[in-house]
Amino acid sequence: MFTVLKRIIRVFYILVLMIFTVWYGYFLYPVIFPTTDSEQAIDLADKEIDAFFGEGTTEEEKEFLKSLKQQQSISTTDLGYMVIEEQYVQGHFHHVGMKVETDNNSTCIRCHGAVPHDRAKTIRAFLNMHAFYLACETCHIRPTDNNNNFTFRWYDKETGSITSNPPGLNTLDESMYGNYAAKISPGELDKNAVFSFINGAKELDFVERYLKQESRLNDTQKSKMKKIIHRNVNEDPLICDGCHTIKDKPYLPFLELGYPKRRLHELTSTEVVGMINKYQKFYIPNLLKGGGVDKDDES
Amino acid sequence: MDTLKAYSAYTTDHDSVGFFATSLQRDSFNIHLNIYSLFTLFCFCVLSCFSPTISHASDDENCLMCHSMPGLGIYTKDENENAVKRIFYINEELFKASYHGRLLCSSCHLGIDEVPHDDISKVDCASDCHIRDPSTNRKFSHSDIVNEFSQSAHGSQKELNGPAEDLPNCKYCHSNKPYQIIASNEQETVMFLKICMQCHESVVWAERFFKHINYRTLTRRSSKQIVELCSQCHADQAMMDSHDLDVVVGFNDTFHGKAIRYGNTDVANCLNCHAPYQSGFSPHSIASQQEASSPVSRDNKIETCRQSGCHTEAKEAFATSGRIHPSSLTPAKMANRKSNPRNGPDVVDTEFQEWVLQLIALFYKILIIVVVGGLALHQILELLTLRRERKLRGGL
Repeated sequence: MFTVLKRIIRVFYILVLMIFTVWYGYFLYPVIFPTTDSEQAIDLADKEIDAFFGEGTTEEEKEFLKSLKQQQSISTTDLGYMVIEEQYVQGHFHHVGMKVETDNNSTCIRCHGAVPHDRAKTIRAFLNMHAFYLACETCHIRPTDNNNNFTFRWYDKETGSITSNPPGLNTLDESMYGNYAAKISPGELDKNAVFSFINGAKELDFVERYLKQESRLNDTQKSKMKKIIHRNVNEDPLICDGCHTIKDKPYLPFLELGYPKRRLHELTSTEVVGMINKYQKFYIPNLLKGGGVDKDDES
Repeated sequence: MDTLKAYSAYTTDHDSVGFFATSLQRDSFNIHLNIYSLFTLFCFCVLSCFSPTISHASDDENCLMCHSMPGLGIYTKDENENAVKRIFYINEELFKASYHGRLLCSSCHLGIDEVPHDDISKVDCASDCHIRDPSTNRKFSHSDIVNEFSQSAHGSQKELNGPAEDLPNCKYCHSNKPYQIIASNEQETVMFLKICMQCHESVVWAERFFKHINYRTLTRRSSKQIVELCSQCHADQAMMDSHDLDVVVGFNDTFHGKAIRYGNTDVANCLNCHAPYQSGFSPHSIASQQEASSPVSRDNKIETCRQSGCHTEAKEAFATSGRIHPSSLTPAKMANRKSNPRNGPDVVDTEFQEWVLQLIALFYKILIIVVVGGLALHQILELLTLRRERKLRGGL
């Protein structure tokens, strides 16, 4: 009895001591020696640079890889009573307080980016603001005449699935305006009243395939394929007063899309419509037509 | 609950509680509580009964009609032709709770007189605000700090070896953060505000003043965050080389660096030595080690080590025996340091010192491998012996 107990204690002692030894060595080593994550990171970065570019990498090339390695990071700020998590944007002064959901299901932003408007200095920010919750197709694809099946639905930015009630759409909290994690996109109803987006999963797959094969295509092929990709794009996109209007019915069926009446009234209020009417003479003549830009705005 | 009642007795408007309630509900805004903040949340929720302006602060200039919309932003080019993301969205709640929450937008963003805006000038932190400094009744301005900063090692007025665009600006270290609050003793907080409200009628004013004072008593960045902030540039080998400066990776190998890494908050970070506020230095006037005024210059270093709460009994040799956070120098940089008369032996390691350090490191590595490895081997042999003995006894 005592012999067995003695053995168990002995084995236990040896095993515990071994685990302790390994743990202690693992713990002690970084305390005594230069752990230097930074040095290891530098070594790693240098090795990657060498592997990527080979010997004799220039400073510009190193900068290129460095930028490539800098992933978009999340910044966390603990205020004591709450924690703010947001995308870290270097040099941005005001706290945004939110993470932006990536639109994984847009055919357009695969090439044109999520912040696509950059030419017209005075209104590009406004247009990009709308691109936050409107798919490009909403303004740049228009229905053909007498197409009664043309309508709009929300899609979830992450999953791409149709969503009838995006979070925040019906809230009274004004700070939620525009931040719906979803976008409005046009589509058509078939004879069974089943809705499908004009640019859906099939079109997204088509664009992905094009991008993969692009380097193997000649200019004529590229041109043909781009024409097909953009076949539905209208040369005269929707402009501001299409929706922000008092006189006519707004182009987008706001109520059908789930907007509360109060929000509809705000979007078509004198305040918004008046501002658009006041300033439209500066940019509407050419700006929104087929990507054209006012000469005054071009820089 | 008594505390809550005590606070509630001083206000007739409880809307500000909604600020936090709303914040908690807004998953998409990713503002959430952490476990460690439950206590301070309670205190601040209670405290917030005093802040009716937080959730219903007026946007007098109506800028938020557009700027409250997420997605308002552009990609553009900076002065170096690099693409930069510009976000024009303003989170109203966070802004109103921030250091600059009382200011109008036009206090900082000057010259905007039309919509859509065109040719907007950059914010100049040295310009006069629209609020008055209560201590002088003059328009408030950060101009003194900006001037001080421009004369510092990071400032534009100093002679510079490398590219000027590497210099940090105000925004590099400062953001418009909402006030941090720590209410570790709620009863004292209640009493503090009670006393304020005996004389000051405006709950808004009192609450903001309290937050300001409270925030100023806090360490706003942890040592780890400060080291990370400084390391963004000073651990960047290429950037430091272009300015003929030593890369400061060696700090992580010091006991200060390791203690910070293992979560010790009561240990010196970069600013405690290079701009010790206890000795009257400011990060805005940080100076090169070669300048006599620097707290880490050869003559001042020992006093910096001896500052209150640190190595108060340190001898002279403690500070002058070598560099505090050495890091390997390239041969070219080593030669450059030696040829530069401004650098003394405390600025550059001699090749002998570096050789000795490497030798000691190698010795300890071998020692650990032999000792730990030997111990592990011994224990394995012990186990094997045990098994063998058991087998033999079984055989018998």
